[in-house]
Amino acid sequence: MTRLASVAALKERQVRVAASRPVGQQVVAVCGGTGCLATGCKDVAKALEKELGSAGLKDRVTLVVTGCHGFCEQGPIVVVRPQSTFYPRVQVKDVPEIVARTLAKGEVIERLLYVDPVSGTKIERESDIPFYKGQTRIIFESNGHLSPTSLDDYLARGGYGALAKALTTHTPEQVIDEVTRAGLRGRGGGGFSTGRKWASARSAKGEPKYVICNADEGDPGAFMDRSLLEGNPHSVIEGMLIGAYAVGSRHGYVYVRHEYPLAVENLRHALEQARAAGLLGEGILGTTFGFDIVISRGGGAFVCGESTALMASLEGKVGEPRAKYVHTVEHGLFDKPTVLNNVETWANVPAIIANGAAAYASLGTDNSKGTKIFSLVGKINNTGLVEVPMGITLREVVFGIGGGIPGGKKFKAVQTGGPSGGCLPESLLDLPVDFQRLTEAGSMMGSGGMIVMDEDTCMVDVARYFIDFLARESCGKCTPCREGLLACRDILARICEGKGKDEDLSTLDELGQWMTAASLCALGGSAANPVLSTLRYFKHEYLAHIREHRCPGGVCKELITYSIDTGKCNGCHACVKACPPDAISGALKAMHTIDAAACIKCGACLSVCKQDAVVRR
Amino acid sequence: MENADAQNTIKVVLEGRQVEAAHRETVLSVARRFGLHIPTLCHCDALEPAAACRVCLVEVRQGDWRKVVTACNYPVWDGVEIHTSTPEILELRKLSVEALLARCPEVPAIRSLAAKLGVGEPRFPKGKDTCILCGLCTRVCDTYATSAISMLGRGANKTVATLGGAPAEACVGCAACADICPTGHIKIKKEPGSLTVWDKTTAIATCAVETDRCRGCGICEESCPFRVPRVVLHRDGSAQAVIDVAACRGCGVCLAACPTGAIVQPRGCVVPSRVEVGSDGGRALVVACGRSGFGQPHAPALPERVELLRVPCAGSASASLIAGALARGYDGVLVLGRHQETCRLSGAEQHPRRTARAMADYAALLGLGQGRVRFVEPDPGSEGPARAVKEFLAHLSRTPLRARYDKPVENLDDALDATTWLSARPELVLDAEGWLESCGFVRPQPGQPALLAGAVPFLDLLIGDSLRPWNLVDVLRDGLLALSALGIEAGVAVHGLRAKEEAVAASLPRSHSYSQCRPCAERASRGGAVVHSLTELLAEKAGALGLAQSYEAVAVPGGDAALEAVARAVASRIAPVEPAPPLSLRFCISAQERSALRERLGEAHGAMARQLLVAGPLELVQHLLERRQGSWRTTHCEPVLPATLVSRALRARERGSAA
Repeated sequence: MTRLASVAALKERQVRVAASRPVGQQVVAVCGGTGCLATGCKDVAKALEKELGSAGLKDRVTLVVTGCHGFCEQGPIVVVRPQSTFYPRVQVKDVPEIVARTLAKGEVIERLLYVDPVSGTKIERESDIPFYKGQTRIIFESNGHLSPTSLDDYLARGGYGALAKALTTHTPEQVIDEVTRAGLRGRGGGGFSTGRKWASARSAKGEPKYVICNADEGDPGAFMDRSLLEGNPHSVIEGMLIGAYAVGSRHGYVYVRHEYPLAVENLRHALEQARAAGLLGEGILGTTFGFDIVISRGGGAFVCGESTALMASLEGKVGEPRAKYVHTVEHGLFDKPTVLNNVETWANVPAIIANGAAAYASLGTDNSKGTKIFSLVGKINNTGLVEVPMGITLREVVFGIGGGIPGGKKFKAVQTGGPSGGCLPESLLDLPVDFQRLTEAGSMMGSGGMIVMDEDTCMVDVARYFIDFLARESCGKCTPCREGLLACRDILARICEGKGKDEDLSTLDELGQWMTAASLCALGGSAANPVLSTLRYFKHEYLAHIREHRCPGGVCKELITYSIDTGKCNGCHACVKACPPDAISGALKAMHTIDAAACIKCGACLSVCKQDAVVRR
Repeated sequence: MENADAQNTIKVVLEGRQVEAAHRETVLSVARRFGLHIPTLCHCDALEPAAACRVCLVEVRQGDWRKVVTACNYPVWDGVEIHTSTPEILELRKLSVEALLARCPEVPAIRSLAAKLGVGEPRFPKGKDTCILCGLCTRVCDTYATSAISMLGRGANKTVATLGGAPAEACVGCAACADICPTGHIKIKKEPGSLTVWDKTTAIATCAVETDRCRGCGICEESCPFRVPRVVLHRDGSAQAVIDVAACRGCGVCLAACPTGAIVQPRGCVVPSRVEVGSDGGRALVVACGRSGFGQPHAPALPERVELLRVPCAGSASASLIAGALARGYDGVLVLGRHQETCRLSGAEQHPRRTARAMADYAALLGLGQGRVRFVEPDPGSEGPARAVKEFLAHLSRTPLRARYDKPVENLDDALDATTWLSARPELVLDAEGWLESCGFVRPQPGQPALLAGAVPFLDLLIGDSLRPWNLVDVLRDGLLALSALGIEAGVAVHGLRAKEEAVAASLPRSHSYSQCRPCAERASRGGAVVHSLTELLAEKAGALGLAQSYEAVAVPGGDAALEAVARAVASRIAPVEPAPPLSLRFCISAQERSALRERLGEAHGAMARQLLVAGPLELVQHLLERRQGSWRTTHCEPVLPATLVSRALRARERGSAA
């Protein structure tokens, strides 16, 4: 990669690279995201390469291992373009057929097609699949098309054009103005106006100024930032460059959680490429603007996603937050003005500059502009990353894009915002998803986690899960978070064991108010939300545990029993073999019974019984 | 808030009353200033606020906006309303204390705070801890010591610990952590000569008296900030200082103040007797205690130009140590303190602070230049001491000294020898301007008579502090007053210590000069100058001054006609005492010499004399060391110089006429 010494050189290269990839050219894209890696996409890609070679198709078909496509339970994903033929769950043994039929002759292999769980029909084209159809992929689209380790792929799609535009046609103040008018709000959870943050940092006194990308993504079940960083690292780099220019910073950091090795690797590679191309370093694109980025890895602490704890960790100190009465835009990293934004926030910036504030703001609601990437997980048919415009309803996401609840089960709740968020019941399914409305309902947008729960979920157990998570992740500096979480965990555990008391609910409420008002940082300050929101919407479940010793979701081990419906049991012995403590007795072909005292409530019998004879109550 | 910067002063509303505050001052600071009590647990004024305990919660409001914040670190702004005890605030505060009470049910400080706030039986899981994780210990160690302890783990597992639970390598045994801990969680074991904390035992220096050098002057008893040394009067009549090793904290101030070098630190002492300078010269000596963090693995390295002298406490930085360093060719000496408020040796810093100031003047006087000696209390934080060193070096030029004094300088007698050597160095030009100005003296104008200062400036700078409240420089003031009464307006002439006769003579004015020290006058005269003994002059002329004769007796050493004559001019009764034996100009004198001094004083006392005339300033200092102001051994008999006797009578006469 030669150095791009000017904007003209950049544009010239963009044109040249795009021209070398004609639109009609055959491309076979293999998703290389972490999810698909786990299901074996690397072997599939290798097999494809080998097969293409032996079939003599190497000059006619381009193989690209792309970033994460987001349809993560369907991996390994292979998409053949330009026809957009979508093959999910591809195995190595399918590769020869794909090459011989689809790539060589353009034939669609029926047996490999995606089957929509709702309609039961096979769908050939990627864009027709409801999961993709319902989305508006402004930010995430490129993931499925480019290789994260190719700067040329990014350039071919107009990459770094926004940077060039900013540097040459905007003053820093104009960049800030554009971002402000676009209405971009932080995507990490805080939802603070990005333009305002940048403006404060620009006017703050102190040199040098820093920009930081928060890639500590700690919410359980959230992986948007991971896929963005893994799949399109240049989009984040470009966003940071534009932000640094706007704020007057020459030094950037990306703080990545330790558990994202592929993201670190791809980002590191991208940084090297950008430097070689002169897109990082001194005199970027022939201007006087200089900027570079250092990667810093976390040490395995959720609390280090909190901005001041992150900065402490970057400085080499213990990752503990501090009060934000003095804002980090004035005194942040090394006590200097610092702009910290989430990965997704940075990734939104090039689009705003490239297409203009008005275009960006045309999507979304009055208080939340643009799109948001959610990680839709849990009891849902279509698991994965969905990018939707702000203002879409929960119903559309869960049932339209998500395909509803598997197994014909009934929807119970959707948890948004991770451990800082809350659970929303069925009655709120028509709530438009935006910062304000979610907060009003007692939840929050958070970083974009969306966990769907069905009738087999115990809401008290959900609260207990999140409290337990936070209790283990609390830094322990301030009394309310440290001691309050332990007390809540204690109470919730007792309730789940059937030892709850009526006054536990008022105690939980009191502790929740205290933690919210008195904690030092947002971890403790929002820790009560899962409890308070489940108390608000699912109090009946709590009362069932306390007063009836019953777990409506059938989860809390102390409160459920497994038994065998004698009418349905055919004595096949499957459960007997599956039961770890040998708690099931009965002769072959005769009635089986479960010894309640020995039963450990593992549910193995329920999962192996083909007669539907095991009853969990 | 005098001199408040008009732009910096804002108005805030505290519990409904408008008060003035500084922009960005904390709520806690404002409240305290107006006598409003907000409880705290993790707060210390000397440390950055941690806001960890969440006990100092208050509500701030403006219009519809309100927020619960911690008072210890919330910066006020113009117009903010502060409420410290709304029902909600009280409930939140109580919950914080309730949580801590559950965690630490046996800690008295928590129990009393809980009782005060009306906190009942905790509803939290009960613990048995004694640590409330306030972080005061780790913060004080980070800010003012060596970061030997830290918070480890998080959440329920958070504890204060050393790395790996092993005895902390970086710990210097200052025990500031134990001092600042509000719950008594940190235990220390103190034994004579050692202090154990965090499983690490540090040798603690203690002071001991070498009895053959001790002359029982009691300066150690007066200078010790902790009142440990005591002069004990033994059966055989001798007086010796005794230091209780169990009570001694090892600051070394007594060691520094002792005029004879009789006090040593046998355990853990790192004060060397020799201060070596590099072969290339150009070095500065930094005297610092362990809390400065130098030598710690993560501490900033010292610049090459610096030699570090680790001492148990800056208190042991003595005048002789510094004089020796200067004579050895160090460009400068920097003595570092270390935040006294958090040091168990707090109080010991006053002595080296004064010593450093005096020795800076000493160096300037000898012609070594300005700014050679400083005492600095570094900024908080681990870089503070290194920054103080850098600052010091930035303004430090190479010493003009071309040779190196090679004898040991272990006590004041050695220091005087070194001073004599320095005074005689040809490349050093004596510069008395600063010293003269600080005393309010002027040098003689052309043609004006001179009063020779002699050894007074050097003695004053080296030991004057230990003789307080008595001021050695006053003997020169008395000399000038006496001369003035005789119609001689003189300036003060300063030469080197035991300066060569020719050098003195060459620099004296053509007219007559006077000295209060007879040998000094004789020596100077031998060199060709006209130097009279002030004593002889007063003997001749004091009688004509018509001074009222005090009925109090003046003791006069037998056989000294001049002294007798002076005495007669102001006193109605003379009490003769044994003649004075020749006294060496040494602070450390033999037991016989000591007892001879005491006997003379006792004799004078026995003769009901209030004052004992002595011949010169050196004899004066020797006598003074045998009696201390305010002790029973103050024999009511004060040794005085003739000029002092006369000037006291002169002042009395003035007062009488004014009345």
